[in-house]
Amino acid sequence: MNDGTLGASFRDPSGFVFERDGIIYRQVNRSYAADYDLLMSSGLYEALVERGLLIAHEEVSIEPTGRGDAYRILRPRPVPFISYPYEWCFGELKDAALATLEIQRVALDFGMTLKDASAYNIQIDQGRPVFIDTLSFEAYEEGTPWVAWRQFCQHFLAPLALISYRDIGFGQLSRLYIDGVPLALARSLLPARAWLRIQLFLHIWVQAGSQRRFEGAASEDATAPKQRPVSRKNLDNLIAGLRSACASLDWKPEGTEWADYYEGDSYTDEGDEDKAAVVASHLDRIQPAEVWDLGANTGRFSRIASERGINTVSFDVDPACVERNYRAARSSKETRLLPLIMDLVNPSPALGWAHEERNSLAERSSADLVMALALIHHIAISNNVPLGRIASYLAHLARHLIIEFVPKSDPKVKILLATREDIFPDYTQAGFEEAFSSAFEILDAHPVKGSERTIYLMRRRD
Amino acid sequence: MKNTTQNLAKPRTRSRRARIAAWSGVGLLAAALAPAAALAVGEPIEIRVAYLDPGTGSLIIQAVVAVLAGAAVAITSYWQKIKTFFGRNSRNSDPSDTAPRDE
Repeated sequence: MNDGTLGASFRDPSGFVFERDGIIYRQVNRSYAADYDLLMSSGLYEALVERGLLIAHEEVSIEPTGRGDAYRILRPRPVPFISYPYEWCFGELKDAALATLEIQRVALDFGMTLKDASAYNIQIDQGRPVFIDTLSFEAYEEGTPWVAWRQFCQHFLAPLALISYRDIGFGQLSRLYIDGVPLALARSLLPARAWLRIQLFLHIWVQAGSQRRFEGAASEDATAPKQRPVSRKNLDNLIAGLRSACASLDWKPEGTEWADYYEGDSYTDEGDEDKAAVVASHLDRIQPAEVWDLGANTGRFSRIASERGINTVSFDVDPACVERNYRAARSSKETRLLPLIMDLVNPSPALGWAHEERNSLAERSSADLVMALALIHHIAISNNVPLGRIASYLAHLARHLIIEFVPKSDPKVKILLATREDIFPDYTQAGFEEAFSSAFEILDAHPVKGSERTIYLMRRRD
Repeated sequence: MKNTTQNLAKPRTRSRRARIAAWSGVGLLAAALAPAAALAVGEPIEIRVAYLDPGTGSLIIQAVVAVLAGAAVAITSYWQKIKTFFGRNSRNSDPSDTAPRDE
């Protein structure tokens, strides 16, 4: 869009987000002035920002976009990487849910309420969930129900329950349903024993039933049941119930293909230390501001970057690895590491209206350096992607690349080739260097001690 | 043919169990909490129109769910207190069960 308005920013008439000269701003429209002033004057803004629950912002005086009726222009504290619920592990989604409920609880104490509870309003920043939509608060009127109740259940409670009771794969449903998992679908997928948890029964089973019963009932219809007031006390009960429901759900990261990878590692200790040392020296040489670690497993090598103060996104396809990575990062209060679920052979696409609401992975590329360690054989051999195509995609993601070549003689590759025909005559070290040389200049090649693998440092040819 | 019959039979059993579980839940709750719910749910009101469609069915039932959810939370917390009083360990809670950290 030519005025810089972000594609996702159209649902709420209170304002919108736009980008100018690489800086993200949020315009507050005059129609939202009263609520914005209440947020700032009631003490709610400070209370939430102080606890790290709401993104801090400053009011700036720059020229408005000319769109809408500008009341204020805000410059929020930037978030290094925008991630989406379908990229979060169970723990990230659960923490985001609990943060949303805590924000609503605090907001009510200050006479305000959340008018939406979309999971997209939360970002995982500095290792914890933070609410980024400053315009989601409105004055609370005694007796009004929580209008975002259904949305909260669709975006958070339903996927958490489905993962907890059925399968971790249901975390991907939010990629299909951009406004969250329909409650009728969740109700039909969840097992009977889920309803023994009274909160799930109430917030999913009963709500879905009521939705079906009253679908399309017009409020003008005199026979249609009317909305009943929800007292402040009962609104607190509703929030407490949701909190109890979310907090009681759990998922254990085990039993997936990669969760125990390091226990059965393909490296000798010597090789492992050598690999860590060469990665560290490459990072010190390039000094990237942001690193993406692709195929990060539980983030062992991502931490070489994040512990240097580099914002690091730690991607892996295995939800159990990402869960372990996140739990480790959370318990040691790491602020530079963001573990996310990403299937590199089918990365997050652009989604939503006009493909502009949620950006694809490549559209969000902001890394200065990509690490692809012990990864290439999974893409090239397991998924048949030609080496040249891997090179051009990685070159699209970042300027610098630390990549490990794993030859056919490596035990891990032998396993991959054991059950299939070897249709990869070009998968050799020479073939790899040739394929990558068209997109990259090879700055360093380091044979890893005790293995036949090689770690390369490359720079994109610009 | 045999396989088809078996495959059909399984979900039916499961859904019957689901129904039994659900309705026993409803029954217990209704018996215990109907008076409270009746008192707590007041006269119909007109609510301010939201830009987000809150869902007609969701709004209609929210007052009732709020009362029952609150009662269930209260019962759970009393039960925990009773268990603690008699010296039984309350369920080991995951660190993520606590409210978001606010250090």
